[in-house]
Amino acid sequence: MIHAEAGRRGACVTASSRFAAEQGVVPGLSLAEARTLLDPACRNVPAHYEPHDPAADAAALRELAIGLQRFSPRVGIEGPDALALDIGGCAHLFGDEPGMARQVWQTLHRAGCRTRIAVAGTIGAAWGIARFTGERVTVVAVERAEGLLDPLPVEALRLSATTVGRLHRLDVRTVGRLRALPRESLPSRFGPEIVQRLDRLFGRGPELLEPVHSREPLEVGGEFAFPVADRQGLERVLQQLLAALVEQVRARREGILQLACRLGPEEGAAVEVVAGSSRPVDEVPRLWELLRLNLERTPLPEEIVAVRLRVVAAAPLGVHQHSLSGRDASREAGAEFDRLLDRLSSRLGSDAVLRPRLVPDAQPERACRFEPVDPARRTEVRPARRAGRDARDGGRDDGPGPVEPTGPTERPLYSWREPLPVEVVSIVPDGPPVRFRWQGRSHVIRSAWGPERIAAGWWRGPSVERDYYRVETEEGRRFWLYHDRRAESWRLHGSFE
Amino acid sequence: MTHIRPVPATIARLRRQLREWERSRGTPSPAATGRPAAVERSGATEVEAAERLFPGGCRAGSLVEWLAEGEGTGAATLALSCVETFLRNGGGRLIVVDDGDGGCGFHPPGLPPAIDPERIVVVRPRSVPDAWWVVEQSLRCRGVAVTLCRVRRADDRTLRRWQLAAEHGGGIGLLLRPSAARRGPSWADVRWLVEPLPCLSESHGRRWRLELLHCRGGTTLRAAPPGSAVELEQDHETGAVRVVSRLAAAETDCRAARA
Repeated sequence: MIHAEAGRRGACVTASSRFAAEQGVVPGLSLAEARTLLDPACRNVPAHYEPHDPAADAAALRELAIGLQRFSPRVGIEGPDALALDIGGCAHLFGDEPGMARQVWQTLHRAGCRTRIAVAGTIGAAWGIARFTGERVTVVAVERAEGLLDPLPVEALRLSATTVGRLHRLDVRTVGRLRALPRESLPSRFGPEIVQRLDRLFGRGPELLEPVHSREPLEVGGEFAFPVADRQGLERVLQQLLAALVEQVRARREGILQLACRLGPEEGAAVEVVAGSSRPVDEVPRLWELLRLNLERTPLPEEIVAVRLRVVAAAPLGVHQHSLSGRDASREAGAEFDRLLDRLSSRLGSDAVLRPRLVPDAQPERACRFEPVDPARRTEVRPARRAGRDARDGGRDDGPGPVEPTGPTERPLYSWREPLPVEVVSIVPDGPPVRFRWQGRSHVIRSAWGPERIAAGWWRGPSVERDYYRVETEEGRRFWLYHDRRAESWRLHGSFE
Repeated sequence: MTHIRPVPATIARLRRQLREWERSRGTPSPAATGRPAAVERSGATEVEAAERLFPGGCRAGSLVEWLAEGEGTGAATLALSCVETFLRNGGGRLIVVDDGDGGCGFHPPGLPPAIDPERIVVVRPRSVPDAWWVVEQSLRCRGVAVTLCRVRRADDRTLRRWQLAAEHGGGIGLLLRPSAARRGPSWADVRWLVEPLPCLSESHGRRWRLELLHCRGGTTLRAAPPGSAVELEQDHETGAVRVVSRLAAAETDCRAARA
């Protein structure tokens, strides 16, 4: 897997899997070169390319930081790929410092992260040692820190690329060699940051660790003085609570993705209704519409004594640039379409609003999957693949890759989820049908195209062996029949509507 | 107070005048149809049949009814063929309201190749009122280009609501209805009766006879009157639908109507 981002040279690799790295795919390589190296090497499983998403990376790192708060209450983020833990006063709870570091490593390893950990007296020292020594876990005693830090490359000082380049041109490649230079001359030659970084590395200058805080859940609610049975009154209270909740969410410059409403009766279990949106929303009327549609299809307790609204998921509100011509019709249409899908999902349920995904499977009932459009239940969309190649593989890969429709001449536009048994007359055994009986009527077949033999699915258990025929009756109607070669029976699978 | 009783000859003369006027103008203006300009977005059709059936493109913000008796008639395929360009150009989205009647549901592998399945959303309502609500919501939404629905039975009020919703949303509603619906009033712009015909040979494509039952504004079938019919054929290889010929009987009717 390779992450690529659009740079001046086009798309470049920003991260790669271990396998890709073994093939020579390193960060900075252009995507075209990476493809040249990777595609021939990946024979069995096609290489997976993913665009770089810094916001998602930052969010994942933040989640990781919050997860590590079980080791220390003060966990900070250091750059795009490092975390700093202040373990002062915590290490003895996990044995000692090496024991604690090992436990942190194991936790991150279980989370699927490739990690290197260093325990040192300063954040700078821990950052440099973790990055530039090959060990998984390094614990540096204060008294031998200088000896370990001097051989480190100057990149360990967390300097800008320009400063590092300038130092390299002067052949100053290690921290030790940099320290050998007159300290007074450093700011004028390399900028003020270099002295500050050196001081922080050796603990002579202060460095603040800004801890990540896990967020307080957003929740509003209240209890009625007496049980409420009036639906309109309840709706008014819910709208007021929703407005208060939206105010809190707006203060964070976020919108609501998922909202839970809990209604507590005087006796018995509370009822929880969850409303979702495909995009973050901070408008009370729209959220209320989604919640109302969900409430309409949920049996509610007769009398309610407590109500509570809780934000299950929130996300930053999207910022978009207005077009020069004023209204952006396609954007507005897209947003309105999303709102429609939210409304439909709210009233009918997520499993009723579906997006078809054609998959390269020879078995007709598996050739199309319906996935909920609801983002909470939406599965990952993989990039397009060539239908031809998958067909050559025998359709064994049943991943949800989009493929072209087969077309209205080959496949029916409507099909029965459970093919219907029909009585069929053929002149020749295993031959094309000449007449079939369905819905109490006899249909005389005038033309038949086939057989299209489909034998597939043996790797899933009982395989299918079918001879499909497209038939046209003497009235010009077209149907899709098949002869089940295993069960020796005929079934009607679709109609060419 | 004088009562003017319309006589059939007067009505026929007025209809003829209206047709002549509209033919000379081409597609009627928003003022002529009395609809807001926002719904006058129309997609130029590339499919030959669609070009002949809807000169200048299907009118956006309208309903089109496709009447057919029983299963396997190909009415849905024809309906989608006529709105392909709406879905192809400009990234229009299609909502299919799939009632799953009798366990028979929408099957996307049978879509015309020009329609991208990625742009389709299939909605499976659990009851008829829910289905009608979905159709209305979908027609009312400006982000939906085409709404396809099988309508077994719907009252006038529902159909009128759909018509208004389509005018508001600017999309096209394709209603697949049984042929018995021809007896009821139509709120659609165009009402076609689809009759499948046996193909000429196994190497030939599928054929239909399409009869125009109702048409508002006379912009359909090159301003042919209701009762006109055409014969269509689907290409066996590509699935494209083209007009083979206008039927002789219909031609006669047409001439008679114009005389």
